This record gives sequence, structure tokens and C-alpha cells, in this order.
Amino acid sequence: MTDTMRLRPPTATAPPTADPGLIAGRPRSAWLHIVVLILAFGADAGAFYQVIGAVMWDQHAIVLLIVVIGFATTVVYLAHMTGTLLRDRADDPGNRTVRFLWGVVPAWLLLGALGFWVRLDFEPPPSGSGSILDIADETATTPANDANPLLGALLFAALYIGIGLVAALGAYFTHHPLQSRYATAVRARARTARRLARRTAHREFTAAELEAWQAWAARMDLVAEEHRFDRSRFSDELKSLARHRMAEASHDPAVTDALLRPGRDIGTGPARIDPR
Amino acid sequence: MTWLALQRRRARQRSERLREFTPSPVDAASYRTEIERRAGALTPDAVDEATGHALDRLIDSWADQWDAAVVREYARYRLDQDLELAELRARHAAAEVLHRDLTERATDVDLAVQATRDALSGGPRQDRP
Repeated sequence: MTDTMRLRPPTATAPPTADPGLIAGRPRSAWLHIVVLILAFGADAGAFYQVIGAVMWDQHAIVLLIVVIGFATTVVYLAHMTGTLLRDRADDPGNRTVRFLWGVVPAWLLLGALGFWVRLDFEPPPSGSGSILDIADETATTPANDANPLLGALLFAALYIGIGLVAALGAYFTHHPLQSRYATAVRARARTARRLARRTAHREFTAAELEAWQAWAARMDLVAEEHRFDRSRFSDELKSLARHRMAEASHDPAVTDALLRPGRDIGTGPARIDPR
Repeated sequence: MTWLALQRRRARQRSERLREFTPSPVDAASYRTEIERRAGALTPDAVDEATGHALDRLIDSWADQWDAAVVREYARYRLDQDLELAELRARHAAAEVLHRDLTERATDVDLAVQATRDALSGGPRQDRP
């Protein structure tokens, strides 16, 4: 269908976010952003693992894991939303959702400051305390970090800000609300088409089966009529047999002639069955 | 098992319940023998040109009984068939409703695709001349 169509180029009255090229799909840079975002999320989780583990070292490993993932998701999402809101504002100066930045940015900065402070002031749990961080102590924590907490905190801050910038800039340059809505609608149409195909097959199947059974019922109506007709003919046969026997016994041509008339005028047959 | 294969299997199970209508048979040989016996029992002078229908009423009554048996048995047979037909009609009606609902949904989704595509392209799409 698309071969026979062409797109009208954006006109002067088109909204500022119009971008016909996005109808073909997202650019490759968008997928690169997603990959980078996933990697950044992993790095953020690692950074928060050190921070949260220093405070909640006596918690169960699963609890620690859930909290770390929750923190990492929150900060990445806040940074992503910052980029998204700024892009919406840039595309449409009248967009008022940008005011949410007053909540998003401070929250993101607060979480970063909290992590920095914990990295700076909190000592890692004592070795052999049974903490989940015991393994990390042997592998991830460097002697330099142990000797200089400021260095570890600065490393955390650099990572935090870097990941935040990656998420925010990536969202800013790849976010396009109209493309997202169009992609959602196209996916919904494909999903609906698959469901409609199944439903159509189901409807046609039930219609064909119903039709076959109705045809069978109509045929059985005829079969019942045939059985009734057969019995009516059999009664005629019996009457004819009786007349033959009586004619044979009388030995009188006049009687025989009267009893055995030509033609099929014996009996009228049953009335038709009305199945309704 | 795919969905259509499941439908086919159910249809096959239902078709196994199909049976041809066969009424209880009439024992034709015994009725012929009975007629032979009764006709032979009449004396040769008992029948003349006007009384050749001596056994007709008896045979008619038998025929009425055979016919009534067919009607009765067929009514019972049709009850089973009508129940199957009712179930199939119900299934088909449900399938029609679901299909209609999904068709309307497809229309709405088409509208959404068209509207979002127009918004993204900056204007409505035109057919190639």
C-alpha cells in the first residue's frame, strides 16, 4: 500500500515536531542510546551497590539487590525524564510539562549527593562480618579506595554525573513524542490484525460447521419422509397381496377382475412431517 | 496444538455424534405371513366383487402404527440434533460478536495510525495520481 502513496513534505503550517523520516522507524542512534542506557544502568547499579552495601550491609542479599536496582532505575529514569522534558520544551515552547523539571532535577541531585556523602563518610563493613560485601571487598574494593574515601566518593560522583548526562542527552536527541505515538499505533494495528485474522477464521469455521449440521438436519428430514413413504408402500403391497390371495381362492374371473384393478390407487400415503 | 487444530478436533468429535436417522424396522416377512394366513382363512365364497377390501382396514391400522412410530422416533432424534444445532448457533453468534468488536477495534486503530502518521509527516497523506 505504501508503494502507491507518497508523503506530502512538511508545510509551513506543520507542527515543529513533524519529521516524515521517522515514519520509516527510529534512527540507529536511538538503538545505540538504548544500548548505552542499559550499560549505564549496569554501571549505576554497581556504583549504588557500594553505597547501599555500606549502609545496609547486615541485610539479606536479595533485599540489598532490590534496593540497588530500585535506586539505579530511579536515577536513570530521572535523568532520562530530564532530557525528555527539555526536548518537549524545545519542540514546543508552549509545553507546560517542563515545570516537572523543578521536581525531577532536584531529586536526581539529591540522590547523587546522598550517594556521595555515604561513599565519603561510611566505612565498608568489617571483613568476615558475613556481609554480602565480603566478596566485593576481595574483588572490587581497591586499596586506594580504602585509604582515601574522598577518591572513592569523587569516582562515584563522576560516574553518577556521567551516566546522568548520557541518559539525559540520549533522551533529548532521540525522544520524539509523535514518533512514539505512531510506533505504538503501528504495533497496535499489527497486533489487532493478527487477532482479527484468528477471529475471522474462528467465525468462518463456526459458520461452516453450523451450515454443515443444518444441511445434515435437512437431509434427515427427507430420510424420515422416505421411511414413512416406504411403510405406506408396504401397506399397499400387503393390500395387493391380500387381493391376490382372495382372487386365487375365488376362481372367478369377474371377482378377479374387480379385485385386481390396474394402476396405483391403493392408499394415499402419510402426511409430511413438519419438524418445526 | 494450534488454535485452528483444536477447533478441527472439536468439530471432529462433534461430527462423531452424527448418526443417520434409522427408525425401528418393520418385520415385513411376519406381516406378509399374517396376510397370507388371514386371506387364506376366508372361504372362497366369502369374497365377491364388492368385498375385496376385507383386510384393508386392518392393513391401514398397521400402516398408521408404523407411521406414528416413525414420527415419534424422529421427534426424539431431532431433539438431539436441535440441541447440537443450538450449541453451534450460540458459538457462531458469540464468534460474530467478538469478530464485530475486533473489527471496530481495527477501524479505531487504523484511525490512530492515520492520525499519528499525518501528525508526524506534517500533513495528510495523498494518493499517488
